[in-house]
Amino acid sequence: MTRWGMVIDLDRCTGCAACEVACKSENNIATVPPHQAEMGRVMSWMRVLAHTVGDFPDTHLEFYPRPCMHCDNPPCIKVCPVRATYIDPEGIVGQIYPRCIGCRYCANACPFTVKYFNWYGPEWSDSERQHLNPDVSPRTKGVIEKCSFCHHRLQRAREQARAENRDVREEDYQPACAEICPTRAIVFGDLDNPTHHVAELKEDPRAMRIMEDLGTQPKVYYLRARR
Amino acid sequence: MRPTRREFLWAMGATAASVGLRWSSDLVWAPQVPDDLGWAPGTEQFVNSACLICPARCGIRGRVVDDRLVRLGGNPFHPMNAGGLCPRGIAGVQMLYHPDRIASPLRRVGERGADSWEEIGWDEALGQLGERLQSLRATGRPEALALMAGYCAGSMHDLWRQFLRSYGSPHYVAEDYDDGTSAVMELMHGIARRPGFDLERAGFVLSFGSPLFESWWSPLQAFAAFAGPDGSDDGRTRFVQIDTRFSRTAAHANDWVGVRPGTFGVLALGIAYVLIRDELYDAGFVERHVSGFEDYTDREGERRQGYRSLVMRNYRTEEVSALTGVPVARITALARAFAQAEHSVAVFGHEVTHAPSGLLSGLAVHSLNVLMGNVGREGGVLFGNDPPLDPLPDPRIDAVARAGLERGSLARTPAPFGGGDPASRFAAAVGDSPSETIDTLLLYYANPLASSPRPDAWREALERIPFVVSFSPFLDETTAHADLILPDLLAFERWQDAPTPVSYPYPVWGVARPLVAPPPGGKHAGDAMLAVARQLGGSVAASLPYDNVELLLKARARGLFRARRGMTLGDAFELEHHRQMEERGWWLPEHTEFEAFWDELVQRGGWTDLFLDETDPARLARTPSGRVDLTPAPLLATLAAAGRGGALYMDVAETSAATTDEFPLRLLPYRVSTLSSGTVALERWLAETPGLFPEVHWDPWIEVAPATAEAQKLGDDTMVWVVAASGRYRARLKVFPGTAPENVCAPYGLRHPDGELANPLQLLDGSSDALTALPNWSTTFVRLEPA
Amino acid sequence: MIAQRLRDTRGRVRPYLVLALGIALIAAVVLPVIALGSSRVPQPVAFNHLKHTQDLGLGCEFCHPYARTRAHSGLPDVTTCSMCHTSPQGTSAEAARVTELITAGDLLRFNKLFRMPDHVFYTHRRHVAIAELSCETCHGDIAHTERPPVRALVKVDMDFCLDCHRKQGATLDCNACHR
Repeated sequence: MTRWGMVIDLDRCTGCAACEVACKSENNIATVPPHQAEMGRVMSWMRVLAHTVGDFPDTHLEFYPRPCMHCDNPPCIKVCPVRATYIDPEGIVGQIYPRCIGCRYCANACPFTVKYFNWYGPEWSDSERQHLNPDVSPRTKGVIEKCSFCHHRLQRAREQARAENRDVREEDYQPACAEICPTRAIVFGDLDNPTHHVAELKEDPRAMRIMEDLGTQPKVYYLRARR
Repeated sequence: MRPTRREFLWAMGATAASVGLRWSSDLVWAPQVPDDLGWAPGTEQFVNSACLICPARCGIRGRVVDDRLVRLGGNPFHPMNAGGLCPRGIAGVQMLYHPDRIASPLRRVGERGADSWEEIGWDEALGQLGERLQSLRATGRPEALALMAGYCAGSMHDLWRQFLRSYGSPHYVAEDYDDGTSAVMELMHGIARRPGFDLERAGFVLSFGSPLFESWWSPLQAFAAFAGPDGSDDGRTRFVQIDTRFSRTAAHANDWVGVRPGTFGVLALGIAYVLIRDELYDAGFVERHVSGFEDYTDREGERRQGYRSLVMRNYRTEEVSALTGVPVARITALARAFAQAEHSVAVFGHEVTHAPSGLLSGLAVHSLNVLMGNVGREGGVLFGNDPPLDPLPDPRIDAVARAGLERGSLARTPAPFGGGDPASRFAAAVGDSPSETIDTLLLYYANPLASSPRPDAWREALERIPFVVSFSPFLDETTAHADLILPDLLAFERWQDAPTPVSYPYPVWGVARPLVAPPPGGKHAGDAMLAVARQLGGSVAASLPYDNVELLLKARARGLFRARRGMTLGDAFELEHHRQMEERGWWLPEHTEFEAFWDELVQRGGWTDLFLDETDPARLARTPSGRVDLTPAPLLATLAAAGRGGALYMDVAETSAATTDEFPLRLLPYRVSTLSSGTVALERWLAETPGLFPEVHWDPWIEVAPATAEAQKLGDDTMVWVVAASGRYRARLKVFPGTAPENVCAPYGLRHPDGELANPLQLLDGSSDALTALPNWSTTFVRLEPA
Repeated sequence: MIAQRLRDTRGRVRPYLVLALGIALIAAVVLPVIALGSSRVPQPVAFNHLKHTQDLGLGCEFCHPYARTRAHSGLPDVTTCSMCHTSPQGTSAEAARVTELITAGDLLRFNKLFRMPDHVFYTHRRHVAIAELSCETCHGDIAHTERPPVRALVKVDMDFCLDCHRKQGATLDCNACHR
């Protein structure tokens, strides 16, 4: 059974934020005005969380590039009163925007804080609309949005594979963050398919998941930094 | 009071109505993608081109759907960035489709700077500029024309030079980003060229403050090296960052070492001390290729100390540790790691050279590369070749032009070993000259009122220049003071060549071609100037015989076609195959026709040649002795003349600057990856989160140590004034443990959301290294006040 | 508060106000739906599907060329029409007008009649080429219309999709079609 997942090698990450911006570009993520940003309303499906520890010069950084964990046991879907968020048969936790009523229960239930609420409608001028990705519907005011593992790319990959009468290959379906990463720190694929790179990496002795004790079974693994 | 059943029902009805009103507007899905009744075929194309946003000039691949650019990614054929791209490049779509771009030429109608314009046609605009230039030449004053150009490499640089030379103006003013490394190379190797650093093939990279992962010449070059050759963990380069602050490069490198500002050179010499003491350096290389290592007798017959004696006597690790704040054990460990790696390279740039002893510090750092023999060979410092393009024709210089050129530049070089900051000097010179000495100033990707450390000098200079023309497609500070705006096409719309920066040691000639059609009425600044040249006629027109920039590039590419080396870009296998063939002396032509070669070159995004002949002795040194000189005589003579003693590698530490009670904190300006000179305002995704840590949104910030913030009773996230003797600016204070308590780290190039500038460079004390005239960036002291 | 306003000074209910409130309620919920459903799609000429598909025997893909290969099936434009209509065809006044428009350089931009909301991933290739559905399944009897319909002949909403997906045993997963 296909189970899409991600492995992020913290040893390779340079914190360049290419993944963040590639995600925003791919998924038509709106910006919020400065005063809203101060209130913590910035939407960034992929975000490099960083925490600086120790005073100069004995300083080091604890950090995680954090997309949605696409938990196998997602707490967000249990609280959704309208089944707008759910886990699909291949393990992607989906968010069906027209179904969402904006109650924000899921945002509060998510221990990884990866669900973002649209407090306002997106503001794009006519010229800015030109760069919107036609494969992704921009969200409207009052709905929750989140990382989808770029599942619109899976939709296209599946169709292409069906047309060619074959299975979806590893390289057919890569989310925008994994595709752009200049140091190949983000690896994506089917965790249950031994031919996929992620299946091997998740067994690495450095592999761990964050907040594993909560039992949500995240499908995003991290390889600890060696440094 | 108990409501009746009826009252209850009314209340329910009213509630339902209000909810209904809300739902009816929110539940109906509001389409955001252009959704008119028309249809588009959804034709999707992936087009290779080159990014023109920063000097790195990465190869890009754009996803174009129905003539809309919807995504930018890296060109996997490009050897430097190999399919990766930085956030600024990715967010380029927001610059391209920015709502504030200037759509057509504008002519000032009101007072200067009053932001009152009229739209005019291109013919009229270029006619006005052409007539003005024509009349300057007619009155024998071609030197009254000046060009101020921002970063401008490749053929646009050549086109401007050619125009000015044939016109007769000596005023090509580059707002260039001199990092002082080329002066170091000229002194030690006799090669006046910025060095290339072969990070990818190096085993160990020791960076002296260079922001390799942030805003270096090409962060993508560093990323490729950090990632390793094929994604496997074997053979990955190890990075150690030496820095004055906990930078992002420091945070993500394999290890980092914090030092005091201005002591990079001292630390390098401390490392050299260990290398020599423990005999870890490459003695064979030093003996064969290096002079000045041992004590020697100079031409005047005077006995002089060589590098070895100077280092062994003056840079014992204990002393170095006291100056730099780095423990002795770490210095020793750094030296051993540097010596043990197969190929190790010490990287440096303006962080080292923009200091009171900048040139000497640069020499000190580079001496590590020389000691290990990591120069002119794989995995070390390399002097690359420029792509073998056909040059532009020799400029025709008529009598008028000759007279103009002979009058010479207003901004003369003030220092023996460098040009310093030519733009500020030019502004000061215009300010000191009679009004209208410069009649016409052209601004090409330059916004000195925002980016210059001396905006007042520029303000004064602009007042003395009657006619200012800006090619900026956005209304920036300086453009707002222009008389005529000729908006250039944006990146991703125009033809331009994109050679990689010299930091990448192998020549790559990227070609940027339009990914989308330019807007109706848009015009390439290069095409505009070619048109002006035609209008001027005579020798100017004859010097620039091209219809447009695309044809100019195509004409120059004939040199590549004839060069019998290199290839059009290709995948990693093709590139490596070609390199190995050349290494064995083979080169097979892939095209017999130039047209086919050019088409493939454009389609793949450029040309490269990854083979460097390491056996060529000219790669190592072009000094008279043919050896790398650790104690260059011209520098010694200059130092002696200045009364600074007869020995090099002394007084490398910066000790002059000191805090005062009035200004207790040292200002350390730095550049963050997501921006340059205020263009971040054009990319909203970046403005929203310009720094990764500390977390900030939209506002310019400064980083202050927790103890400092507490002592000054300034809370995290408060707005403060950064006050120096020369001025002040506003920024958000971020408490950041990666800053030393005596410093304030200040990113530059930022703006407040309302457009207010926050440029710490404008607070600098104006002092400079007397040898290079490069500004000191770490000698200014400030205090913080609540705003 | 509202309950008080709905009563007159003697405490009796004001029927007209109740009526007004009721109308407002209905209007708020229903009108937007009607408004959305009723937008009439105009076309540049009164295209006669029947004439072209039956009398002339042209296949659907003659004018909708991408039905098997792309998301959108494509609509004809002046280049398609010009294959025949550069000279007068038949006797109808509308055909004569087409020739006139072509001669005058009109681009003949036809408008989309069947539209999907942007949160739906729909491609013709998936349904026509892979699942081999006939055009009538979703487009009804449009091939036999003599004038361009101003509204979609079949109401393609989510129920319509799901009915068919159930019957065909196709995916019912939300993520398969929502984006």
